[in-house]
Amino acid sequence: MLSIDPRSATPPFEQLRLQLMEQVRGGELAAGAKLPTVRRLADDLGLAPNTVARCYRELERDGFIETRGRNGSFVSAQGDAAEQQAQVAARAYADRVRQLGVSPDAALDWVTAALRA
Amino acid sequence: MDGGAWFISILISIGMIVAFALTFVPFCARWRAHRHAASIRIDLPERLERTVAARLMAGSRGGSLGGLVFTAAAALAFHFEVGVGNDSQLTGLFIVGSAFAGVASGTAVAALTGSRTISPDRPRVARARAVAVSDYLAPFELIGARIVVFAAVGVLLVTTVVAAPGAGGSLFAIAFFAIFGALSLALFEVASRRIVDLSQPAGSTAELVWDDAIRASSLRDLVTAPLALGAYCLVFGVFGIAESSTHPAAMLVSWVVGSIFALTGLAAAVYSIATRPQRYFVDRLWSDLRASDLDLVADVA
Repeated sequence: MLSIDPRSATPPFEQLRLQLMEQVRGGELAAGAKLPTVRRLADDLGLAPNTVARCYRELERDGFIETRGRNGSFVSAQGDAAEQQAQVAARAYADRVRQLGVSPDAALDWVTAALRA
Repeated sequence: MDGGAWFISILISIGMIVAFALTFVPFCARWRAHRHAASIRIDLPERLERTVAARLMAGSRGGSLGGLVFTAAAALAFHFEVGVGNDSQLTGLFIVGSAFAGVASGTAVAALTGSRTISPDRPRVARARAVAVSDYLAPFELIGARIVVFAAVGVLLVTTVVAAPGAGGSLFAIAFFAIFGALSLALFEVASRRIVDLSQPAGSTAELVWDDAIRASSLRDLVTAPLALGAYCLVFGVFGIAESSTHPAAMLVSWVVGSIFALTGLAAAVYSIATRPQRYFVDRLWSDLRASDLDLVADVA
């Protein structure tokens, strides 16, 4: 969840950038997650589209997100190469679990068991 | 148009008029909002009660008005035989099908024309990841509607090619439901994407949760039309072929296929009720919702 307080001393651009960075670092926004379009996020948060576009550009420059042409912006995998591969695999597993209609708890139990095996 | 079809038309019209009138009664609006809150097991904060009730009522108003217009138009078309035959025993079902299409159209218009504004000095919250129609509708409904309508169009093509002689009325039934089912699916596909693409200005998590709840409700109303029309085509249309067919083999095949469709539809309805699809968006978008999230006290267990 993102929140922008117009009365805060921190500029809206900085509030948005910091929150997105924290959520990517903390794993709340997983690698491969699609971000809202610039226009949509600007409308939702009551910001100018240029502000959101600039924020996305800076996050892309810093390696937090990547733009895949017209498909939109996505969260990049973080960490070293092995960690990045693990995050991509985790995303693929989560997508497959959703497709199969398996509950998140059961999916977590199985992956925990597999890791301990 | 026979007496039974007139009776169904009048009954649906009265129901739509009553539903439309009730949207202007504040008590009904509040009751509807709290009933919806209970069905999705999300508490409705008192300060949001009026807004949520008004938005739910706007959707109901559009749906009932659309249902009334389509029902009246279908009844008049069948009565004056404007572009449709008048010899089918299924006219009452055509009227019901038209009502479904009307409710979907009215709901779509209401969902797409409503606007929400937030004071510019208020804090704003937004979701950090993109959402899609599949976040609001269970796969069972979303994919089910496509499968049912494609199957209905397939049945239409098959029956047109291998139609038994003298099955004109039944072919009309299949064609009517398949074509209206396909049109309502096209309406759903376009309108649902536009609804999900609309911005969600929200000042709190609770407002965003309830905006999602209203969206999910509108999308479920929209998807009901292609599901119902496609199912009508598969069940009543195929049974109609069986009854009017003079060829024993075609009759047997129609009965068997119609029975399979009817049993599948029944099983699907039971499964749908058991899995509570109205709460799907909560599990998908708000699975980590906590009672401490701002002012929202939620029972998401």
